[in-house]
Amino acid sequence: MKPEAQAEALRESFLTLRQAIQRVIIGQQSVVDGLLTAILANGHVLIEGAPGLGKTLLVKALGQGIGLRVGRVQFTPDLMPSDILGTHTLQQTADGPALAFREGPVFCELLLADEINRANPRTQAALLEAMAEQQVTTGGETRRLGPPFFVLATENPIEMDGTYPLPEAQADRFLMKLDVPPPETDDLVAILDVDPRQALDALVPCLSREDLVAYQGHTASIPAADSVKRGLAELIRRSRPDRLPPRFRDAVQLGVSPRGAQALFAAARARAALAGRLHVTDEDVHAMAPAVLRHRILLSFAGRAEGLAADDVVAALLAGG
Amino acid sequence: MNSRDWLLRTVGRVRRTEMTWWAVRLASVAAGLGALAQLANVPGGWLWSLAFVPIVALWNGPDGHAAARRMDRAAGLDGEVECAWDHRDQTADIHVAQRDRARRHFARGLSGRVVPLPHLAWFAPALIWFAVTETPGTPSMGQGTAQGEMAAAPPGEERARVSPTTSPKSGAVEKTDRAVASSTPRQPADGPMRNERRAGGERVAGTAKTGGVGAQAGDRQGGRAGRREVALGGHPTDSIPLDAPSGAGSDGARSTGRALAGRTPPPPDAIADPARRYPRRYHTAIARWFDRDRE
Repeated sequence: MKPEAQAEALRESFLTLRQAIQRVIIGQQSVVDGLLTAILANGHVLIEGAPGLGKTLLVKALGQGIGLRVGRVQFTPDLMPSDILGTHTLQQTADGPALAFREGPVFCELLLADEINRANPRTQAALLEAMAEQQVTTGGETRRLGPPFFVLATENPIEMDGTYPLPEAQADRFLMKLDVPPPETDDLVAILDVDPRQALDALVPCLSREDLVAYQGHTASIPAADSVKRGLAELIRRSRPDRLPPRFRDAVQLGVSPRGAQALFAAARARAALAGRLHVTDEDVHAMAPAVLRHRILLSFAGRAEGLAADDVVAALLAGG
Repeated sequence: MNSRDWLLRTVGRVRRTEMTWWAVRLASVAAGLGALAQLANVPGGWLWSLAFVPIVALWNGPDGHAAARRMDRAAGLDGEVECAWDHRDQTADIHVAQRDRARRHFARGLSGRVVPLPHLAWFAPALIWFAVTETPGTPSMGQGTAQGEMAAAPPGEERARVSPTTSPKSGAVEKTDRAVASSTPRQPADGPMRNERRAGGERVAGTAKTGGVGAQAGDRQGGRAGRREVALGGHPTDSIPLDAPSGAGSDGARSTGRALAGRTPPPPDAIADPARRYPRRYHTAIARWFDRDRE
């Protein structure tokens, strides 16, 4: 398909998918848009929100809308890596008993890692290889995942007792972190009239797996002007503590890594693709910056004590301060 | 024409147009300065710097990126042309498609000139300069300055030339250069140096108290000629070396020499300080001490 036609088809498909998801998830438009952008950019998403805001339902609706195999893991403190990746079990075969690999829930196309911060660091780290390289190595054997393969992890910011905050290396693997806000009154009224289970059953796939992979390839090839790339690089460079405005210099312990710059560029490309464009603009970069950078800027103790949030730092960066 | 050729041609045209208007603006600024200089009666030697106008225009002219950005602005696009320009040499399908789209959107969105004409106010300085230079009675460039007022001696005036290294007492006044004197145009009543006056058909330094050793202007520029030996009171050996600032062979020194020509040496007491700060006998003694080898 020609790029021009593909760009148009992509835009139409994702518009249809968005409308289908919003029949299940009322409101939360920014979260839905962020998710679709991350899917198109072939990135993983960390969703943070209080319980009961529809995080799990949103992920299920997305998986069903794209027609992907959805796997789900409820992370708990006693969860072991083999519970996610799979394990070798002794099985009876025609030739007698033999060790066979039993795939864990990670062998899917869309993995919902519910309350990922409740698992111990060892189990969290088991996802690292899967997320970064889309493969799993167990018992000396490497098995491919996908494509496509996405991890959509949720975090509950309220109940922090007994949780293990994600280490920076793992948080960096997530393309973006989306905050799920509480719904507005109108949305809440509409939610009362919707039966989520029925709505989910009624959701038909709007996009095939093959189309999705093709759209991802198209998105990854969208060009950007040198000035846009330079502006993005400058934004990332200014996130380093020694380059930040004096107000934030002591509040930030760690700035954005080059991987963060790549993530921001990929997200900006995806946003351009969703708009049907064949080029990336500064506006794309700025629009995606909060979601992509907020979990990559590590606040120091002084910053947290001041009550600052990473979003404040990103806002200052975008304002040029 | 494919979209790449279109892009190269259009961006090139925008660049050239913008450079031209740059040159016009710079020339306008230069014309304004010229008009001011004309009114202020400043010498016009700086006019040669106008030759730099096209160079500065070329230097400050937009590059391809800037021209592409200007095209984006003119057509209300969000960086499409600039992106196409940055990837003008790429041949992947998506880059070709992006260029095609940029071309279409540019043509659709363009509502006026990409590079607008300079505002009419930019042409005002040039008009002012023209008016200043063409108005009768306006002083010409350099008029009223020392250089402008400097003129040659009237025809037929005799001029004497003194070798800078010789003393007037030695009688080394060279032959009168009648040919030069006769060919020079008529000069105003006053000489080129404000402290000169006419006396007996020759130009004499007005500062008589310096003994004609050098007019002030000449002294300021005096070179080797600034160190002269002047006969004192008819005593050949009573010559005093009078030091003047260095600057060998300058015109000022020559004019001093001319001023000395045919002049009766002044009395010793007429020589002013600081050359003569002590009684004459001291100078005589010092001069003899320096000349002791000769003696």
